[in-house]
Amino acid sequence: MQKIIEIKNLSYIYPDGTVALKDINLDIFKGDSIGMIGPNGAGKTTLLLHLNGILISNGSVKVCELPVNERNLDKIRQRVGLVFQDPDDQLFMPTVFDDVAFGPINMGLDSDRVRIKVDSALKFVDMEDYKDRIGHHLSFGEKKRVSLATIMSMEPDILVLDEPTGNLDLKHRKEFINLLKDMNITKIIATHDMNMVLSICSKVAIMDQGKLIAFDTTEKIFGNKELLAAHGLD
Amino acid sequence: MQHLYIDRYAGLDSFIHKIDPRIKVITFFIFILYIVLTNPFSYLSFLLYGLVILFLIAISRIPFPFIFKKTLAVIPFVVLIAVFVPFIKRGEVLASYTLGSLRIEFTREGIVLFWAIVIKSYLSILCMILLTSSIKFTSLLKSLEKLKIPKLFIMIASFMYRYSFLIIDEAQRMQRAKKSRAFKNKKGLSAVKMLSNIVGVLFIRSYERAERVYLAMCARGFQGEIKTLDTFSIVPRDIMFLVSIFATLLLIQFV
Repeated sequence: MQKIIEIKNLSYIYPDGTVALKDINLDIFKGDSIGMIGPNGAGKTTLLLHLNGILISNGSVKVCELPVNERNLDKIRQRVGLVFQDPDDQLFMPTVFDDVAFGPINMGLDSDRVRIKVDSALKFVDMEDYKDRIGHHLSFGEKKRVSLATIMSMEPDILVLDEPTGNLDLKHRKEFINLLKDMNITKIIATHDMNMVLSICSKVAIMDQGKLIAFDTTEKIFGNKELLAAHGLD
Repeated sequence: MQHLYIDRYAGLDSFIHKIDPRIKVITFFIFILYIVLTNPFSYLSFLLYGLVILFLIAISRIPFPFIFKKTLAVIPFVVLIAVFVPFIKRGEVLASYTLGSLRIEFTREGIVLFWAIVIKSYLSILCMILLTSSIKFTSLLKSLEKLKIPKLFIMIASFMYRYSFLIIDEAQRMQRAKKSRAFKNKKGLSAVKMLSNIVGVLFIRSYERAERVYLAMCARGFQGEIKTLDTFSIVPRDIMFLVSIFATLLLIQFV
């Protein structure tokens, strides 16, 4: 199998001195679907921000064999699509169409291709009729789905999601999980939603206090009750 | 939460609403130029301008009260500035008063200027309000962008549009949280203190959000310039609108 992300000895300290990541080593293969679980403040989001070069620190992160550094940023950001936790951060343009088109336009596609990509991304999340709607007039569930579309329109190889089901009601949560299930790309999902991890993730990484505690298949991790209990994840 | 005030009637489907936004902006810009450059003594021209605007409002199907209410927000500022003009402008003195050592003179030229400022600004404001109410704010921004207004202004306005509602919501939530914990409305200094706390927290939250939004933009390949697709198309109807308004304005000059 092809190694798609390779993280070696990654540590990160925030400017205020908080140690967010300590010596992380992680290999992710093409087609993997990884659930990243751990208590609040474990460093999950910080790790995700390293995957497309928003944060760059010592240690090495490689995406599709490319080291994440200033020079490769454009290429890496096309391959790694990062969906932020708060859809109001993700959706910053006035209309849904402009938001979904933002990525493809920045990739330098011509306007016809951009339109095709926007249409298919919105169709995928079942929001075709919302093109001209305005960001702040959408419900939370709609915003979440449009957020996903803003990344899908860039057709990334790797989808990185931060808390995709947080704050969603049961119906929308189920719909969203089904959407994710339908996607056959590499996924990395940071979440507190254990049931979602069980239903879509093939592997699970446990993080606590900036360290990668365990990384194994979903069955093995969820079979190890002691490990889960030790990190408050039972 | 829904905030529809700004785009309340922008979704109507009238002749005026269908005009291409760029053409509409240009037409109203020309209209305002004509109003501003008209001789203050040609009262008939002002009357005719007014009638044309009323006619346009009528076919746009935006309720008159809505438009007039909006003009009320601007008029006080205009009057406040214009009201001193008759006393300052030099010319033929109509009346003069002496207040102690202060002599106040009231001139004919001053009154003419006062009238000109008030009527011209009122008509221009009517134009502006009709323009902004018959166009979606997003289309207005896009048309200004196509008309080569600097991108930076467009970006600032579009973020303001996207996030001001969010910040208002946040402020309302904080207000509610405050109310649900404080037993009574305090007055005086402590109320001011409370308010300044809310404003401070709001500022920090907005600042942090701006950071996160910037990250989200970078994650999607932002490189210092926001690009959008052109979705407008000019049809014969638009040109007709521009030409007929222009012709009417010219005609009004000759009456």
